[in-house]
Amino acid sequence: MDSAPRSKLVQLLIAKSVIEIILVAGLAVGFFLMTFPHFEGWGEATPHAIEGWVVSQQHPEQKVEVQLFIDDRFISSGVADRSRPDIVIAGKSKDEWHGFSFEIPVLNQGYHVARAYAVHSTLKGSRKTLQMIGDPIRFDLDAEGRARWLRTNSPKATGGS
Amino acid sequence: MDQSEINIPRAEKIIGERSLATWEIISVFISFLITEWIVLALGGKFLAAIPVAAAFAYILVSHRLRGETPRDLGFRMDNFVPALWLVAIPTIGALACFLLIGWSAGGWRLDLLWSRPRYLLLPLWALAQQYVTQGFINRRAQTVLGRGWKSVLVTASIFALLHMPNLNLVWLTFIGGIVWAATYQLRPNLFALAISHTLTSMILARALPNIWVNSMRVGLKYFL
Repeated sequence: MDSAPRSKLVQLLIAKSVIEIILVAGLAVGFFLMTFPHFEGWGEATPHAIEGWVVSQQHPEQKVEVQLFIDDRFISSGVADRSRPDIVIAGKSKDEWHGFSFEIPVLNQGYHVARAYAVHSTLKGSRKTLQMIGDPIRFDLDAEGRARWLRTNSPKATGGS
Repeated sequence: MDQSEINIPRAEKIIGERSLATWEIISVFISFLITEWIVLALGGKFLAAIPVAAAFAYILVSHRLRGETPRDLGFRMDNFVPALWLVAIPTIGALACFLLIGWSAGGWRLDLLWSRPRYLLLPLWALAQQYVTQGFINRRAQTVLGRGWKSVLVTASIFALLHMPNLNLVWLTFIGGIVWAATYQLRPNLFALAISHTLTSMILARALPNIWVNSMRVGLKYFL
């Protein structure tokens, strides 16, 4: 093959690579922005429930779906739409209706770890990603089924994230 | 300046014929990998057309600049019957194996062949795949490695790798790729290969248990 067509093919290969790099980079950025959740929230153990709050930073008015896992087992899901006036005072949200509360189910006495996750749905619900709300919630359950929250060094409930 | 340096054309100083052919193979291979593993999974079919169109556009320009005619590539009828005879025995053997294994494993779903309109497009899909694999990759592999088992294995390997991570499809397409690439080097006819490809993929999809071939899914969609 002559040198001119060869030069042209080299230029085309470079141009094709550039197009593909731009496409993949654009998809990566778009996928990151669309799929990865951006939530702020907190969870704690009360004597009979796992409670907390969560606010979507992309859509602050949205009531977020929350899933509760205890000892890595799914327990329940619900919507964070309960009143939490403290988050308005702390400047975390404009309205107070972002609280959640899950009753602690019957568990063996002793140490347990709960994790609350905010659910983020994209592509009409066909893709879901979870973001843990706050830190893992460690608690001890006594013989009467009352939970005692084992606080870590994390910030306090209100205002923590 | 050295006299020999003056006489070498600029493009040849940049890249040789074999290096360019290698780059072409890798570039087209990457386009299809990007389509299967990234764009189809994250961006959908509309965006997937971009790398596919870029690859096909490049392939067409490459043929034109190299002076390759459709007849050279295998779009011809003069050697159709000899090519069909060449590929017939392995094709019939593969079909018999798929039907027998599928029947013994209880995987036959042959009735679905007539209920899926998309199977009508399978010959075109097979022809497009054979065109890229044989008409482009096999020909460029021959430029790099010469005619023979080395270029046949490279062509078959690339064809098989495009079916990752569906491992059953990978080794089956590797064997099929060897047969088709070797046939193409002996009798370059894409229509005969497309017939073989259509029959084998249709029976493979409907004779073997679906759990073995996972609906023929490849790329990231295999996991979705």
